[in-house]
Amino acid sequence: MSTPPTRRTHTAVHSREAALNLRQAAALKNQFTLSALHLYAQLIAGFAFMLYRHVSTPGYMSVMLLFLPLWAGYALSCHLRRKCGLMEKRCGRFAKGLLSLCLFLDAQMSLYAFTEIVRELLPDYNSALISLVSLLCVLPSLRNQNAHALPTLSHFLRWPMAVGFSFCMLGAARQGETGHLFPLFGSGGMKIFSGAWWLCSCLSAALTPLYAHSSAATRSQERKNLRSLLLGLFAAAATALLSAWLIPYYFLARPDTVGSHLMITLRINPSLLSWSCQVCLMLMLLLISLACALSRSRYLLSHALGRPVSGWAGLILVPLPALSTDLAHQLVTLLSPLRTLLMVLALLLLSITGKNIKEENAA
Amino acid sequence: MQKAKLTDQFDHNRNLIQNAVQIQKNEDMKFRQFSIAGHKAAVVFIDGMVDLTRLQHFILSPCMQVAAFPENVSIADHLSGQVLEIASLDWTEEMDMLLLRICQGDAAILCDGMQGALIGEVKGYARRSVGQPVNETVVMGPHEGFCETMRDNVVLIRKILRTPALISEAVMIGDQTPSRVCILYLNGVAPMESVDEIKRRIANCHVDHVSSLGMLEQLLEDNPFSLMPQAVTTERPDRAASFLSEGQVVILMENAPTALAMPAGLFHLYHAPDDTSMRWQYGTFLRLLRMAGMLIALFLPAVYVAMTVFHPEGMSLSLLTSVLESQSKVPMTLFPSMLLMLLAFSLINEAGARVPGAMGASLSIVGGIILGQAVVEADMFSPLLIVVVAISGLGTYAMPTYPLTMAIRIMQLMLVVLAGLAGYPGIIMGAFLLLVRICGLTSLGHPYLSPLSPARPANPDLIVRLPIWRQRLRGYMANAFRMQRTTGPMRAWDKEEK
Repeated sequence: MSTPPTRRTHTAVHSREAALNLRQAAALKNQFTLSALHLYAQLIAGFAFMLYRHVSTPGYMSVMLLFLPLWAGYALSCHLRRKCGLMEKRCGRFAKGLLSLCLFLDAQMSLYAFTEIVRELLPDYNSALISLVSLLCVLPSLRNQNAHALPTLSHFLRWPMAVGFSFCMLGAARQGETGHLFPLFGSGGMKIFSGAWWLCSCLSAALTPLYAHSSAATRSQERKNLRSLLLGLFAAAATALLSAWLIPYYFLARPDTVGSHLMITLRINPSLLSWSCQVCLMLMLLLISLACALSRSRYLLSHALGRPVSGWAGLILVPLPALSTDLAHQLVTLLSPLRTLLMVLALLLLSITGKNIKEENAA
Repeated sequence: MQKAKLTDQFDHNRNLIQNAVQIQKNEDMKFRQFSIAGHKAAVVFIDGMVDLTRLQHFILSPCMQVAAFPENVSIADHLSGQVLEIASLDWTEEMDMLLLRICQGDAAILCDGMQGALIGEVKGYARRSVGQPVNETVVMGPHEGFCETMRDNVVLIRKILRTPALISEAVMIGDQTPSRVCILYLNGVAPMESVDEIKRRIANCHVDHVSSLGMLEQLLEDNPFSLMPQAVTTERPDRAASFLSEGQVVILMENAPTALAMPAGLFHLYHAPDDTSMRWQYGTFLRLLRMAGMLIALFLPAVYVAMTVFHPEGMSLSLLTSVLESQSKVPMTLFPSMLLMLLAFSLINEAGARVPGAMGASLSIVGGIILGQAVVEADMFSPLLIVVVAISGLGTYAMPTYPLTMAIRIMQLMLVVLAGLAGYPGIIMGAFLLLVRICGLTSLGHPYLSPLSPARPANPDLIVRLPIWRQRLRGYMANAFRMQRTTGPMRAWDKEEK
């Protein structure tokens, strides 16, 4: 029996475009892996404690300071691993699997956050329905045909989101509500320093999905011009808003809901346009982060297993936000340290043995 | 099945052709038999499709005056070289080709002893002259538009791009009733990959007949289930020439008063024909205006529904009061009212497009007065809702291409439905889905949102339009080796630019 002919829309005769796409795909894979590392290296400490209910603001700050040497060690290992050659393949796969699991759990967190915000906005809707619909909304972006859609989207949306966030920030700054915008900043040099450190780490985290699409050459070129500065400003704005809404909720474990934080922003920015912008950008950002986490997780998992993984596996994300609020809180509280543990293990594996993912991907 | 071939036996050829064209039933199919130097001969043509004067003066008369054929030269060579006084003359031995050319308005010349037929181009059917483009009017720029004759359309483009590098290749599409399609490209500028891919796709379209360019577009596009058009259609030869010089491939078709440019991205649809003709400040202003129109058309009705139904807490008290007051007398809730109004607006549009010209004024009166004023006075819809629908409708009108307008109108309805179901989260989910879909689109394998994302080298001519002398590159779809439009400064006389 002959096999049916495959549909051919992306022609093989596109030598230039195909070469560009191949290069871009390679850069993309590198970026996915590296940005995943980067992102989680920066946020690992935060997530370890973010849902721990008894952590107060000063406690969190001190924990962040404790983790400073870890970041320094990680940076050192990044420098050293270039000289160390390739790590043993099986070990690398295992580390990738761990990273994939971490990303998968992070997708849970994003979905959870999205569901919580939507529930606050639409109290009549069931959280199971919200999670299911949001997953159905995200899963088409994980299809193989849309392999480039997600990075293209994050790349494309950087300017509208930058403008939107800047607009909201300006509105809030005009009101003099810097305390709400930067809740992690406080009085005292140490607090400001630790808050700034956290902000810088989040800045690079926020940049990673945006830079995922650019090739190394384009990136280096972009650094030279104004765009990189604006992009950095955007990342700072996005991070500040994240810190204002989601991060305090997670990190400081206040009894407030995410929705109540939205109400804070309503008080800060009473204008219709500003409020709408904030809500919509926040929801869009969460959807993108959910899709990115799932996409990266699937990519790493397929590398770890050595075969492609179906994107529909993400459906198992449904249960968590569908559970009752208290139970979901408890589960997330449990999952967070688990993820931290996995991440630490993966990072240690990668750092100590001098893993060079870029070279492996290129090979 | 073996294809029928012509032989040197006149009677055999005559029977073959007469049977094929069913000459007994086809009253306009003519088989004019005569003799050339004592040999039986005939001209086959369709009455009305050929220019009878040219046929008579340059084919029939010279043939009938031939006294004898020279011995050393074949009949076909003698006729084509010494006798027939027409510019375009082809030779065929294939029966299919002969019939096709006859159906296209050419005349076939048969002669006893000639193993084939000469085909003279003496087309003379009724055709529309070159007129103004109806749907792509511009304030500045030429006012010529394509007509239904493909040859004229090619000439209109050649008139603009007077270079031998402009290649026009003819191919056929349609298994039973083939239609002529012309693929135009600038040799060296358009990547051959694009040209080959279009040829491959056309060759692999198996359909009995392709009646229009729109049908061909649907057969050629990468993602047929997408709302967004993946090729640009234009009625303007200057725009087609502009696409060609950017490295795109233009497709013309017989009986189609438009041209199709591929590959195309979102920005090709967003740009208007006279953007380049205007000074860059005006062009930029108009483009920003158009962008605002597009966003308003897409999101304003949905945001209005979401704000009013689900998130009134986001509105200031004065606005909320105004909205609620205007809505209080209306029996229907806002969501169905908005849907009905948008559908009514689309209905007026569709009726406006179909209605005969003389009745256009009546339609605008009906649309403007009855739907605008009467329904408000009858408290069927709130005035604010009509204002929202009208502004979003203006936004759709600002789109330079009709397919993009249609896509936006459908997306607008989808977003309104989602907003009516789930407020802002619904809009965001819908927007995310649409964006992912658009970001994943390709046109002839090229990413749809390029050169913005993925980033490709491009002129500062995407959302805004910077001065023309800053636009030193061709489109990102052009051949990589011919990306530069010029090597030196464009304004060489300007010292500052030097």
